[in-house]
Amino acid sequence: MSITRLQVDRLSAGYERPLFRDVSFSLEAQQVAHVMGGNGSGKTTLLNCLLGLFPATSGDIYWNGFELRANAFDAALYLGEQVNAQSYALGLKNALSVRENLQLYLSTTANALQAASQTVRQQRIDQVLEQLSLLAVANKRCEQLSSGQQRRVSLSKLLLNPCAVWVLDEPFAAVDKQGVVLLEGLISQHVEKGGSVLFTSHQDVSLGMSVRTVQL
Amino acid sequence: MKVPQFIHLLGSPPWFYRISGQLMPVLGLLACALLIVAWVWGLGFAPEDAKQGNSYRIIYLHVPTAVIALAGYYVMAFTGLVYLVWRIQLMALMLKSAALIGAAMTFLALFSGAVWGKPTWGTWWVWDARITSMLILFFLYLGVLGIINAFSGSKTSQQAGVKAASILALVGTVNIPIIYKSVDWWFSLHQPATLKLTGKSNIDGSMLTPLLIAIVGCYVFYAFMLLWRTRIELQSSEHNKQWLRDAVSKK
Amino acid sequence: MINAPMIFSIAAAFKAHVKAESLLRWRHKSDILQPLLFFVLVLSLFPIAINAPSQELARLAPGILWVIVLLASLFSAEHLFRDDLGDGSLSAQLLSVQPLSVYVVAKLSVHVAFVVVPLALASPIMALMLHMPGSGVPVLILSVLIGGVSLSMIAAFGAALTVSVHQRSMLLALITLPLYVPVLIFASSAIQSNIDGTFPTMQLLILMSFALLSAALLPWAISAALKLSVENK
Repeated sequence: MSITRLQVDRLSAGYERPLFRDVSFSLEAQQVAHVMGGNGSGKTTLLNCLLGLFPATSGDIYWNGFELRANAFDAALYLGEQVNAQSYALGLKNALSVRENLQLYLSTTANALQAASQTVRQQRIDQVLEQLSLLAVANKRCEQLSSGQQRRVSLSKLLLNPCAVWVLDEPFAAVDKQGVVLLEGLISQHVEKGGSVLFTSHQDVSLGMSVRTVQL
Repeated sequence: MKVPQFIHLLGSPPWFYRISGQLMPVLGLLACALLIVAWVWGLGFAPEDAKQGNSYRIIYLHVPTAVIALAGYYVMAFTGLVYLVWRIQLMALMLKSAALIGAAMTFLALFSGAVWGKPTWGTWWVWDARITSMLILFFLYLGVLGIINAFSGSKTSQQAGVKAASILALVGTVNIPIIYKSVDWWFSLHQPATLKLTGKSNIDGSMLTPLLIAIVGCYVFYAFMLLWRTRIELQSSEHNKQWLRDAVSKK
Repeated sequence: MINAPMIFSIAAAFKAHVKAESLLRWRHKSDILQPLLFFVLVLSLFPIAINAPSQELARLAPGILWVIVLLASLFSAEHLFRDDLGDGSLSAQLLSVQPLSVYVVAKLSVHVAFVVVPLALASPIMALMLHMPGSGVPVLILSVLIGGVSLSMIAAFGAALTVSVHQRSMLLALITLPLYVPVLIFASSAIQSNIDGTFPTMQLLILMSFALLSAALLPWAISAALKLSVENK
């Protein structure tokens, strides 16, 4: 049986100049959806609408069959959020070290490790950092890392907190070839485990799996 | 939450447009009649004040505007509350109107107070409790207007601005009694009570009746202005809607 | 693994926020000194501008000191939420199951510790510079500590409303300063009263009640304002 994780019905946003109009799609378990559209077509706005961070003008959003309400996203993890052409809001504190950032993240979100002891959580963080080859810079502050490394720190949240749905804003922008391979690997692993992924990208992305396209 | 019937009706711009169109002439005429009666009575027929002579007569402008200025803040906060709870667009327009009219009324009260102060106290401005509270109220209104102005741009941003203004107005509502009491206590510490010339206890009945009529007249005038401003806001925000074109062409 | 049980503890989140926020502040030590520097700067302007004998200054001191405390708290709160809005961590907080007020209260507790406490500790030196009688000093410190809680809450409210706005300084002052008035009144009255020989129990209790009231009510208003600011970004 397939679970419908996210359903979007005739969603519109923007008033005088609609950003997008009547977008409908659904995302099920083990599915990947690619939101496509040029610059300014409202890709980020769509993601923000889906997560209740921006008010839609009309249309309905259902997560796991329930109507969208604020603060109900134990199931989704949102990363990326493009601020302008160069910078991405990765949700990282620049003056904190990689490890401190991830500890903060673990303590302030609902996850399976909340009740675990400090050492267990520390081990899990180390595991994830090793997987993303960040262990060497674990105690460096985020502002000292390269932008590719910063992105990987932000991606490590995906592994730390096993959310069912990943919502990724422009995950392939400003990432080197190695990073693309890494991310593709993460996505396909997540899908194999039954997860779903929704991502935006203005370019074609060829993942080694079937991807549903949502054109804006 | 279940929306009460009358609030549901308020959510319908065509209904508001029609009803306000019918109400406005009535309110306008009533306000004119009441204010003319009050002011002719107050300025021409009420007795002269023993201490202040004729200069006290500005009370018939000063007190009503001051009363409305304060009441208007609560009207504004109430529209804000309704907007936050039920997201009725009309309430957003009404909040904007209430902020503007309220600020104007507060300014009028301050100005008439200054004009009154010159012959009475020999100075345009005195830091007494009432005036200071009125000045702070003016700042509170300006804050709400400032927030609305700062969130200009797209309509989504404007809506966020009205929500922000509503929250500010509600916080202000809790604060106003505290501010009034504090200021009152503070200035009563070191000022003789003789400065309190507007105290209602020492006003004669023959002066009081026109004052009360002026206050009622000013309330009606406020209601008229509120409907009028809101209609103007409605016309500009819904200018491309069919019902508005129909309503205008019917005239 | 996907369906692992989700657990969330508000106490742990609060502690983590306090720890991270303290670390962030500690790593920008120069920012801790800024409100103090501002305090001294503005303070030194008064004797220059007024050019009065010292007993005249001493009479004005409680009021002058408190006006500067207000301004210092206003400017130190202006950027309270700016970084969090810019780097996406505010959006992340909104998506989390935790109530946003946990984050707000944690952040403001740290703000009080890093801004209000240093101001309170530095205030005796400032009082000395204005020749304020020594009998007013203990109450001055107390009033800054207690009143500072309300001031931080109110300023944070203003900052949350205006964080997404471009020209925010004037607007922030316009929103915040009128709400400061009751605190200003009771704080400067408390100091004056102690100098005059009566211990200001009533004023300090009222300041305390303001602090409790603002700490209880404003975090909700701040959270609501932050949500709007994320929408408006």
